Amino acid sequence: MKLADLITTNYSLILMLPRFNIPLGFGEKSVKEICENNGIPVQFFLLICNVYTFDNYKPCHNHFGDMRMLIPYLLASHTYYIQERIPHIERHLKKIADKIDKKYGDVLKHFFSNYKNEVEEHFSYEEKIVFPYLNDLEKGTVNKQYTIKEFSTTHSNIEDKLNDLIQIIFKYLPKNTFLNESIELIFDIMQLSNDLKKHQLIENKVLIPYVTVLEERL
Amino acid sequence: MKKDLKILIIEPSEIITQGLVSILKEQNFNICGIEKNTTRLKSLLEEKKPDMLIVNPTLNAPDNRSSLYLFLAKQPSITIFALIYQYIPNSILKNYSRSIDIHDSAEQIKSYFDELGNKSEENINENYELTTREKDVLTLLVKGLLNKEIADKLNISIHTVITHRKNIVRKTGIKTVAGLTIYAMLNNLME
Repeated sequence: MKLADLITTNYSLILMLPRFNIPLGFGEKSVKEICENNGIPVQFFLLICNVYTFDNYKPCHNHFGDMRMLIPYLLASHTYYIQERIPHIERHLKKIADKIDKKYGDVLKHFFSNYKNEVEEHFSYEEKIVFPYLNDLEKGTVNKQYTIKEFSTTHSNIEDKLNDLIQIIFKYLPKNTFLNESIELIFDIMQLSNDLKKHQLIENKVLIPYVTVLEERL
Repeated sequence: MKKDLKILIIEPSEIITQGLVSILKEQNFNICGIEKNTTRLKSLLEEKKPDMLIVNPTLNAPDNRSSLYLFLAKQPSITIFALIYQYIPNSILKNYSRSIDIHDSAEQIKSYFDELGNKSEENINENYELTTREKDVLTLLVKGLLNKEIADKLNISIHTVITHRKNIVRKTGIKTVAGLTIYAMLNNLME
């Protein structure tokens, strides 16, 4: 299959390119060719695309082949959220917050800055605890004190607050006459919320089961 | 409310129909028609305008081509109960609001209608704004109180607090306490 055709079936998959370091302008090359040229295991690339596209897709354990790109993929996603999307939304939210009644504007800014901290903490836990644990498991040098179950039971959802923010912006913000800016902001938040939901699916359906398989092999 | 429910029964067996009618009559339901088959169903629906149909799902649709439930699916304002006395696959039953089994006791059958009565009342009184009580729960919630503490403070059960919380989330579309806090501030519910 051509990579271009794959992306045409679900345009959101274009987000995979920066996360896998695939440059644009790949013309008519196939998925396989592009993955090979960029040092990406094809099976893993397709696994991520499938989970990302179909909410009900459930990978089975023999889909876990060469998984060395899993952590780089998740890290790249984190970077994209923290360094690009969230600051982008924060800037636009601030623009609206500065134009409305200060009392309400401050509440909005405060809400978002709390949210940002929460997301940073969420990712930082994964980066400092879960990813190194996976590395250790793969190397066979494992710290027995921790199990992935601890992560799976506490792995919280981080998109609910974004959905709440959307409701607040379009329903409850008093004297919000900035219709176009608000709509644009809502689209940006919706996009991030969907992307985070998919990210969560990848962690729940790929990361956690994969680590569980490795733990069982111990 | 439920006394005004107009019920149309479509069932070929007279024994079954008579039994059902006698149970329903105790409840003062208005039975607006009893039919043995579906041939006149279309015109009856127009003429009697029932709120509810109790129908034997093994019967054919009036046009004899589509199945009965496909025909009934086009009647969204009518609540439809399936009257069953044999095995009916779930794929068919799921299209009915509820099924009445002929082995059900009179009590059980009455309870099905009570549920329905409550539901319609709820729909009629549906208020999209938060009620005073919901606002009370909300202000305590965003102050950081736990369900138990809210219950004690308002002298209501935890169960009631949870119901209020569900209604708050349903009405506002806001799920998180942080989000509800903003809602409370924007609506001047915080001192």
